[in-house]
Amino acid sequence: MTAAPLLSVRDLSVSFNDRFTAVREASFDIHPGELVGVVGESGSGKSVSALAVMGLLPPTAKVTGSIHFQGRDLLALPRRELRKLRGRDIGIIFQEPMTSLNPVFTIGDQIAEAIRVHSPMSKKAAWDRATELLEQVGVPAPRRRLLDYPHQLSGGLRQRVMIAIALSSSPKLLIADEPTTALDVTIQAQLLDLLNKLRQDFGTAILLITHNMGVMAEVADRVVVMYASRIVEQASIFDLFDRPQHPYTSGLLGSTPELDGEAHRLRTIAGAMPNPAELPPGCLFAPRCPKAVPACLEMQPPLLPVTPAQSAACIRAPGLASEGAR
Amino acid sequence: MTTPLLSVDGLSKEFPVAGDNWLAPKQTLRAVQSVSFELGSRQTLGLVGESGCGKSTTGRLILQLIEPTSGSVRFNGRDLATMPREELRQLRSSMQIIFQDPQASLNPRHRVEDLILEPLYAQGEKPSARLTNYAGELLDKVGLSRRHLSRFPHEFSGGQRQRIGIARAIASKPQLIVCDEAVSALDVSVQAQVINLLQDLQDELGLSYLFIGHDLAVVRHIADTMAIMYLGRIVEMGPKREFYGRPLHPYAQALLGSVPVSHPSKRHSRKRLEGEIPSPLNPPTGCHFHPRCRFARDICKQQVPQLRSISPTRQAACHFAEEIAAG
Repeated sequence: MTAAPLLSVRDLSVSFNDRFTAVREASFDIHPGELVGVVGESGSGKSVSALAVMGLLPPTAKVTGSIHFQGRDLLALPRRELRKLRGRDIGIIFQEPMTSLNPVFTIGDQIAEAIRVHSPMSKKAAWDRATELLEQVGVPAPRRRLLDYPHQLSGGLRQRVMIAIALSSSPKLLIADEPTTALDVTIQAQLLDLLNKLRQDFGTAILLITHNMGVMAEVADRVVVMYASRIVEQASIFDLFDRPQHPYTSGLLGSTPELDGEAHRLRTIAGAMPNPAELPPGCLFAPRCPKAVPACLEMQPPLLPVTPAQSAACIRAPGLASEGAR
Repeated sequence: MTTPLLSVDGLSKEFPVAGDNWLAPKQTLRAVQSVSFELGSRQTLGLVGESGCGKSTTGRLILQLIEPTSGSVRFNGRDLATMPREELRQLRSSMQIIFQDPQASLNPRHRVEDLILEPLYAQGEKPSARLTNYAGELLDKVGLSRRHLSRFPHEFSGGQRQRIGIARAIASKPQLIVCDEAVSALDVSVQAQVINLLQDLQDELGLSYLFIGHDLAVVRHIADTMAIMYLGRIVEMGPKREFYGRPLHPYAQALLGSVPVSHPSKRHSRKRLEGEIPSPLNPPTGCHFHPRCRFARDICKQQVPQLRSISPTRQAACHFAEEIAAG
């Protein structure tokens, strides 16, 4: 892609108390209108990366590297400036909408407040705009819903309200951290359709954090795979599913239960994620890797391009493609 | 015909629920409504549905952890409800359960050895060197090791804790294990390990599973027979292969259609199920599914469709199941 990226993350590292490093040297871009997924298991650093982009990490976190949004380095921005940007140009939705909504205010109050923070207007006008937003995110009978309190809504509807709030200032980037994980599958499917519609209608770029490869297959253009604090592979969604270059990606795909084909025995990745306090030397995945060779234990392989559009952090990556890793 | 291991007939459970305010009359939540099925030896029944459909309540009713409002549960042909208390207590060792959250179901103050042997202590056994040795064997079986016997639950990862939960479930040599969302909280790579472990144990120990879950892709890898629940009722039941090949009930079709695709080339704008799951306190009349069903006609609003045979092996609770099956 030739256009300048909307968001450009370079060598992002996040550590806590100088003891525990959650993210190591992560670099990735998001272009306008693109849906980039970050996939990984618990403890991979995917959510911490997203929080770093949002500037929502606690003060104890040590963040290095750079995060450029529309050319401005978010890490160098004064707090006030960052606050203005967040919410206006970057919208955010989380996994659990109940904890993100204030239980003592109506839905209408909360959406209207979000609208008026970024564009001053009368209360009446803000409520009208709130009705419009709820309609856009597919909430039935929106005017009546505005008078409801969060507890009166189902999980799916609450998440739609969160999306409406995130969209209230027409952000260029929407960051969604496991937005469908707590929801039933039929509701998850509706929300994924909604995210797709938002991209088409408003050209919103989306950074979607998830642990679910199926969700990636449904909506992502490009995927960043994280394992134990590092990005191990980056590729377009088709390259990733057809020609995974990193053995961890292949393992993740193989252990995902599927609806098609024979209900074969699931492939597994032996062992478990390493303890962040006792990381193995060399490649962090080597102890679990079926393709590991002695050289893997010597150094952490950098993320290198395998093709112009795909990169992997594996010393055996260039050879993996021909072996049909999946 | 031989007696099935587990036979559930017309099982129902109603919970009284307080009204909206203190003057309002009490309401009744019909969590499970005349659920019937059989489960044979060495078989796995996948019981699938979304939040609030009554699948977990069904599992607890079968184990007599809560008392049914009506209906019967027979285990090896014997009715559990009418069985003397002492006999039921002894029979409990043949029926075990694995919960979703191993963190919450393992007492944090107990060592792994005592956690695993708890079902045996409940049967009156006393700690002994023989039992310690047995606990070690169980840990080997579930992919841990006897080194772990004296550790506490917090020293383990989520996947390892679930293995401890499984070791505890098989300790009393049960015939039936109810797996209540047993792999739902686990990471994908660990989930696959635990599913494979459950399959290996089934082959080795001749277990039957009632596998309760919400993810049709996961359940497909372990079940022999499928039962789909919606708002307290089973809406479809049949052999796995036939079910996944072509579900009969419109809800089952929608549920299957909502599972994320396995490859980006299979993305398509398919018919999504609209609306939300209605409140089980105030379910729709007639067929519970009619307000969201694209095939619904007048009869669906008035008459509750019974779960009936559509083919020799399959059942569905839909007035138009044959029509829908014919496409």
